[in-house]
Amino acid sequence: MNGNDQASDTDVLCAVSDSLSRVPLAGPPQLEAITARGRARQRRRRASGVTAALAAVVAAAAAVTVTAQPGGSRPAGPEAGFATGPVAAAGLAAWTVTRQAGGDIKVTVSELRDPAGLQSTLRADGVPASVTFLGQPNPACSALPFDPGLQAKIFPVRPSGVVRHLPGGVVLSTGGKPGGDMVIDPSAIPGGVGLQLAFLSINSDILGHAALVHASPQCTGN
Amino acid sequence: MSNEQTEFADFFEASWDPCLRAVVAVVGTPQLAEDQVAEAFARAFASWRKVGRHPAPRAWVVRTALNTGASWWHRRNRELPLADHDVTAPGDPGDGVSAGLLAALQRLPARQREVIALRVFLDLDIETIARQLDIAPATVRVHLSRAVAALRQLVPAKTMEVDQ
Repeated sequence: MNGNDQASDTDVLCAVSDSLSRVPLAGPPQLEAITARGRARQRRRRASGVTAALAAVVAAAAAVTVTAQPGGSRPAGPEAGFATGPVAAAGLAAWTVTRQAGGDIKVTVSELRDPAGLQSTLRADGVPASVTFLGQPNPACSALPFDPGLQAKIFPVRPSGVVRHLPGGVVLSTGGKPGGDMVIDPSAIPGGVGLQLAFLSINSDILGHAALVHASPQCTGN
Repeated sequence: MSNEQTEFADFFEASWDPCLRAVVAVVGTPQLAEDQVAEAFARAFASWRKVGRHPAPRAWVVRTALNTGASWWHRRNRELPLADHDVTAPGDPGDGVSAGLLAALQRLPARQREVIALRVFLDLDIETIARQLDIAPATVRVHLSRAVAALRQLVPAKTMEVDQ
């Protein structure tokens, strides 16, 4: 393609490069502006993922057809105020349950392991709960109508993380983040009412979906 | 600043100009290209764990910028230029040869402009360009050859310059 009367391919490409290199262009924008835009995009993407995943959880919960068994009293909670989940290889607890000074119970889930252990610990602390991970609610549970007022009493602390109101419940936890723990007031749970807690992982967050259900031995242990 | 953020900051600083010039070569309008490249870098930051491991992250940014532009263009009812007088030459390159070259570049088919941009400004080889554009290497060579042939008439041969 080269010849004495023609520019070579390389000459042509160099000429194009040289021409465009001389076009005055704006310098790069502030890095902070770019990263802020990127973070906003991450939040939107995460929020849409959370909504879709939790919609699946709610749909699964709504499919439960087992007959409700209301009534019964809750066992009194033990004095123990602190329990942790099994220790992972890295030495981190999968979850922790802490009784706070006012009687509230703080649940922090940092890893989706041992839901049965968390459920037993909560029940022992006086919380009639069904706990599942990965969006597989206990089929023995029967949901109560969504009651935002009662939910607000049972879960008195509004987390600082992602919060979504979905049919039948509310997302209350962004496990492991400051202010993102699930706080439960056991004294606010009326007789015959239990909690169905479903934890799932979205990207790097662990979220909890809390719904009110009829308390029963098969669902909440009493 | 975390390692990932530092890594992205270094990439951003080193890659903004070549990526922007590559996109200008394709879209022709610096202001539009700046918007598209800024959006592409924001997306790269949002997905840095993936993009940072990409074999050609600058090519990823350029492709994303061009795709962003394509989406914007479709929303604008595909107002594509129909004649030479609609073609926008980017900026003022400073002399007649450069201005003519850039105008000619804008008259090339979009795919040829993309191949030129990736070859010239990102210094990618034929195989990598083919992977980025999801076309065969032979097709890249054809696009490159046709583009160079179309532009050659505007580039004075070095041997002729010496003779003159």
